[in-house]
Amino acid sequence: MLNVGRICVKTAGREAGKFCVIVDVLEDGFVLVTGPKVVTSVKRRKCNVDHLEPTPEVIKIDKNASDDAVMGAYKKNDVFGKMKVEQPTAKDIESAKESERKRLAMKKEEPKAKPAEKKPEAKVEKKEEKKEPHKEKKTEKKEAEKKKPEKKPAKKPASKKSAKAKGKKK
Amino acid sequence: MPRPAQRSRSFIKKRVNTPGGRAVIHYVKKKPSPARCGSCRKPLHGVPSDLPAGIKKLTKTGRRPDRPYGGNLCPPCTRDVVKRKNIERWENA
Repeated sequence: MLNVGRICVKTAGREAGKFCVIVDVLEDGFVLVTGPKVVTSVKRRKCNVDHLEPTPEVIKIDKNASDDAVMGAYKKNDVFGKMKVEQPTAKDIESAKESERKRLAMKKEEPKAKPAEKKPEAKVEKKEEKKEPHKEKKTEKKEAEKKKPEKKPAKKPASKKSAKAKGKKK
Repeated sequence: MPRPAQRSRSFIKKRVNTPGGRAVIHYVKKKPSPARCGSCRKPLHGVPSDLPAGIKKLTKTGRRPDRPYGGNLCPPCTRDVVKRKNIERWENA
């Protein structure tokens, strides 16, 4: 029953009650499935066979067919009429593709930008604060201490000692 | 002595230790019982039980799960309903 091209109905999860097409059969009772997302809100991902209810409808699709190929097969076999679903307009399809491109572009930019900005700012602030009030000898010692352990937790005890030394001298 | 409005049985007497070292009784309103499935009467998950003032502060997704029949039926009962609807739809055709 569960072969490539079979239309099924999802019984569990957020997408329960919506239909989808089997695109590939995987091991251990899993199956690759798409709506596609523009027609029904079912994304292209794997699904457990226990959470699917097959229907007597079958479509001719290649293995691992893209969403565009699936839409073409839907139009040929009149799936929209049989499953009583509205056909998405060209505007809906284009807007869905644009939003996906933006989402992928945002993902690539965010993780690279954040860690690079934080580290140099933190280091510069600490060095400037310590050098100004102290004498030259102590700056040399602290620079040597900083160079040896370059990790962040090692720097924290050095800052505490410097703060105590400031209080004692004054 | 509690004031007359607090003498009803819909209040719970909760003992509280104050920072001054005294033990004092607070009169707290009872919460409603947890929600139950419409068909099998099991308690539902994802549906918080609180007085209306507390539930109004929650977002729409914080009040019930994001599933069809979310705050109404438990997951096994929704599966049965979806399967039965599917069978009825394809029986006649």
